Amino acid sequence: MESANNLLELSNQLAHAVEIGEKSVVAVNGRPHVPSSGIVWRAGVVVTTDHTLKRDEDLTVTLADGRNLPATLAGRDAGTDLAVLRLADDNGQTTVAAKTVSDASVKPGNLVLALGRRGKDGISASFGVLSAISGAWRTWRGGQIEQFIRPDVNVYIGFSGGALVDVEGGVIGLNTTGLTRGTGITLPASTVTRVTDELLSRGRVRRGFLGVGLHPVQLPDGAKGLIVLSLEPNGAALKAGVFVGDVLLMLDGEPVNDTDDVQSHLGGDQVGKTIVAEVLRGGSRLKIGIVPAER
Amino acid sequence: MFGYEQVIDKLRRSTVQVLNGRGGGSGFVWDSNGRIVTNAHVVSGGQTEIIDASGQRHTARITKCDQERDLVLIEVAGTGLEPAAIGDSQSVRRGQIVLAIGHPLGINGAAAAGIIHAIGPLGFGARKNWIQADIRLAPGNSGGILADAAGRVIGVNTMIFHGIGLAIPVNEVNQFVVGQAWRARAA
Repeated sequence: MESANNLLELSNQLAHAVEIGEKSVVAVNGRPHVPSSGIVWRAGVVVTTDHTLKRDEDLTVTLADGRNLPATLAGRDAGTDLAVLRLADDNGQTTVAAKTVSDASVKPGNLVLALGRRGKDGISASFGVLSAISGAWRTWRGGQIEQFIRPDVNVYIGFSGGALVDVEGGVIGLNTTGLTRGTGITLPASTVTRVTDELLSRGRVRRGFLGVGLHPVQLPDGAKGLIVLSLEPNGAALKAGVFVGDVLLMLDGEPVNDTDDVQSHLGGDQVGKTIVAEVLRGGSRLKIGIVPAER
Repeated sequence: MFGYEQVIDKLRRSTVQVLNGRGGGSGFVWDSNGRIVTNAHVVSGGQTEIIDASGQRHTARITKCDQERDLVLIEVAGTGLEPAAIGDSQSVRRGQIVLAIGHPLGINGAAAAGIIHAIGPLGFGARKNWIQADIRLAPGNSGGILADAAGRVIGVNTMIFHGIGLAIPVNEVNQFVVGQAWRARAA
């Protein structure tokens, strides 16, 4: 074999990326049978997927060096499919926190590796390219994600909660199969950091809640709105005087065409603060102040 | 530039198709004495024949078998078949590039690329050691080469488990070739 084997160089680079990246990838023992994966996001703090954590107590984390440490649940958020654990015995001394890469630096076609850990057996890896990257999106469970990242890699059993790394071993984000059908997606590092901060400080991710069931409708004049199909007992909308059959046209002066538009007005900072809803009732428009509850 | 193409070309020359009368799989040329390694489950059945890389048919004789590890050694007379370069499965690293050559679903000399996924038993008390590869294999790859980026054999593709390719580490194949074993499946 001649020495200038480009394939061999790439091969060595990928193996090196696994060795760098795996230092912060852990196994999370929080469900029967196969453990899920997690990432040491900062000293003594592990992030994993919410959907793979089947219990809130009796959790342990197997580190890259083989140690198995007890962990406590700091908080979980089904909306973004993230859960945050604190390592009980670690005091931030011996864990290796992930080195993340900025959201802006990743591009479709980049070579990537997905890393997972299944207990003491060590790290497992799969390989592919970033197939799609686009802007912010909202999950079907209402969570806000800073960037849509779909890697073309096999996300094997136990890989949810593990890291997607670049060819240098830098962490692009956290892989999950819990938010999309079929293949997995990657939650960007920026989202993981934001949700981790919120879960560590508050134990949950706050979200405004109107307590209405809505369906998009088109009005005779071509305008779009959302008809109120149901009202939650004691919900914010019911208390404010919204009726079933009202058509929601605007929130805080901005037109709302679908439920995504409504969700985007219901961030955590909206809880407890009046939002002005413009509705169509019996042919006339009226404005109703609603104070979103917390969910 | 020295990439996939050159490595695959070389591996193809040492890969053979193994036929057993009902179906078959892949095999590869172990040494210059015309000895060929494949899986035991590939030759189970009747008369074993091989078709070498140049398309020539040879009648083969099974000279050694280990049902437990799913390996057989077969010999063909008067050959000049090109032996594969044998690597060291002890030094494989997770993430490194691997190539598989074989006859998946009857397609001749097909190549697949992937990486080392993990190394070791499948867990849950399993004992058999595997090179586990993140690579797309199909029936017919059985008995064929799993190679590293330099074209050295590191394993024998044997099974697919939840989409993961399982290969017998080549160091175990070497032990089998030099050893005395003619082991039957444990009853």
